[in-house]
Amino acid sequence: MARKGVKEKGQRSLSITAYAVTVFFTLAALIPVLWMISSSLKTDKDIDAYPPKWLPSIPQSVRVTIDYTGQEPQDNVYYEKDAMRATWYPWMKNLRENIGEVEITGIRGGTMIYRAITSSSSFHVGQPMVVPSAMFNDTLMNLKLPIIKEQKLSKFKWYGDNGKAAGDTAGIADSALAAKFGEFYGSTAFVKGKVTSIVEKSAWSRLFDSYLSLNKLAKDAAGPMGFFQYFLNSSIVTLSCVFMQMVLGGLAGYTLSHLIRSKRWQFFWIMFFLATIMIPDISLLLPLYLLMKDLHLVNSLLAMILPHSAWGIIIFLFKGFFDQISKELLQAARVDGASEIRTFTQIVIPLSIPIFASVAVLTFIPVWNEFVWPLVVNNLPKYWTFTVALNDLQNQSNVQQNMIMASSFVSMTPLLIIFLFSQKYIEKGVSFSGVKG
Amino acid sequence: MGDPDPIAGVEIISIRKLNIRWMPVLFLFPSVLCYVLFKYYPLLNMIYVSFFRYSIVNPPGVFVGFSNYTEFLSSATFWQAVSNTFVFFALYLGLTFWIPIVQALLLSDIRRANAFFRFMYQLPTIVPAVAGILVWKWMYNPDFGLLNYWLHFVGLGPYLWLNDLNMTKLAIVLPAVFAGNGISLLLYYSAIKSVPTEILEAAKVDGAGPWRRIWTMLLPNIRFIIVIQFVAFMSGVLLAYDNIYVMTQGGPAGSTTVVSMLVVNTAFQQSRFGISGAMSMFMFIIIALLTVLQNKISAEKD
Repeated sequence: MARKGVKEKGQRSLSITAYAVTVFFTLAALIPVLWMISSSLKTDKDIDAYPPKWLPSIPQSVRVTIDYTGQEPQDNVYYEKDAMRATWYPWMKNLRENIGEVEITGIRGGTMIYRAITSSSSFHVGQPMVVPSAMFNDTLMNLKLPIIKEQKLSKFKWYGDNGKAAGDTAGIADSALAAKFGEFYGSTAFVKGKVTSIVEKSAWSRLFDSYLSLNKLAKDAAGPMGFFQYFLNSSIVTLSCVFMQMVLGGLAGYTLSHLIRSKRWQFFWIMFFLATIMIPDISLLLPLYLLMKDLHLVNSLLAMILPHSAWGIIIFLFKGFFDQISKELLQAARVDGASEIRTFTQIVIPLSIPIFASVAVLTFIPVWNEFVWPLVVNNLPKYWTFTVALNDLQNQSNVQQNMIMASSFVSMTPLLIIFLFSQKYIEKGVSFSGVKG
Repeated sequence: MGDPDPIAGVEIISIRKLNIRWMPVLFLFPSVLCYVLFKYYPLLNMIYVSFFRYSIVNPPGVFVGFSNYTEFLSSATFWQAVSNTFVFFALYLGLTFWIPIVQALLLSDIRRANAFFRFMYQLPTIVPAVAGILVWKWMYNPDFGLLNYWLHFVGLGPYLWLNDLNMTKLAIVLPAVFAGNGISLLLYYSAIKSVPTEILEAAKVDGAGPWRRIWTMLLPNIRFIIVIQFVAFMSGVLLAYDNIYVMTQGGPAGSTTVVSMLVVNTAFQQSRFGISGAMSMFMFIIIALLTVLQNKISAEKD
């Protein structure tokens, strides 16, 4: 770079091409990820918008006030059913709208007697059970109210006679959603009270409802932990594998590198470990499944962890690194009376932090992303890892693309965080493994 | 004893404490056990299973000799899968294999924000394959997808990406074109960076322009890695499974069913374990040959 400043012929065109190509591929890598994030924040109206929209619009909260003044007083179940009819029926009629939540306020003689709030995540999870079709009748809610209560889909707060004074009613607002709801209440007789006002307000917090829907959906399949169960499974499997690789691979690599004197034995054991990289995972899928069946480990986390204890390339990476540690240093420690374990833990490990970090990262990424083995070895959702649960989502009928994208985004966040902090270890690891790739 | 030979000294200690002899055994044993249990035993079991009409209820079932092999080798589904695999191979080769090479060569010319671009190139690597494919599947959506919308501006489409028999294979390869291959890129890039600057300077003095230097200096220097990566690429294509399964499950009409998918389906959907074992054996032989080839080439370089 001695002649800096003097532009060579051709340098300019090369630079322009280089930046153009690099920026193009950078964008190509970024667009799917941005589209994933944008889609995950969309409501059902936006997700099916054509032309596609990049910026999700803000979900709307529909606030309905129902006045029961002048009617016979009833028990709270009567009012709850009324509120649920006022929520679920018109929402089902307007399924593909930009609704973030519906809030029903019941008033009687100027005081508030109840308030019912339903978020869009609850609506989407409950819709196939509560309002499977747009055919409603008065008695339907008698059957559905227990479901709503059991699954905690709508929040219903009963004030009775102790409610605070209701504010002035605003009437039916001049907006599309309010008009649609107003039209439903006006043309049907499901709601017993008198609808006095419908207002539409922005509900920013409902942008993330696709994520909440995922969690509520997963509770049916995976148990009370919901979506976190998959997250926990993936984390346990991945971290156990990382730990196992470091302990087993580290010990074996050190032994091959420094403890076996005989050249012939050393060669034998290196071949013993390294030869296994010839065996493709897909070939071992069936025999490993049969093995796990014999060990009674089908449908367990252990079945996903154990096979990862044998990666030929890991031992090879460790051995390559340990070979660079000088024999004299280790001899000195031994002469000083340190045991082999002490030598390993107090001298070798502190010198080898980079290789341990590289192995950790190079194990974490593929194990977290692993798909086919967890898919075949587990058929109970309780033991699914993230990738299997994610694939299952696309086969469920009431799951929209916004939920699938939300789930995809959640699945990549741990990797993104790890990657941000460990890029240099990945680059090192790749250069350690060199061309063996 | 005054000035002991270090090696002899250690021998004396090792004989006295007797710990050098069993330490290697202790350190190596867990790994050896795992490798036997999760690699060698399953491998032998796979070969064993492939000779039986395997019954999972009453293993191993009826011994049938080589008939599992002849059965799959004479089935039309298998040859359909082989031909699909070859089409995928051609598509991946033509559309994706050379991309990291070009990216690395051009990246080596970039000084500003080099680390940032390296980071961005690896971003697709960390998106789980399943998640990445689901995003693309959503972009392929014929009604609301991003791709058909963009293509209509240039007068193309709309395409039924995943339902059109002529498009599905391309639809599976396309994400890899744009995602590139971060690991290959790093390998190429570090090889390019290890080309001594003196050689490049000398070429410069001799009047070779920057484009010519890429062609005559840098490319020949990474030729070896390209060959190695090519062998790895062949096994990669042969073993591709996740992306195809998530995208199309092998459909429509078996047009994206590849050999690796057949291995899994035969065992876990049709429960024909013997045939699946025989096909696993077939995959093993091909991959083993490719790996040996790869190692032979690496060894030649050293």
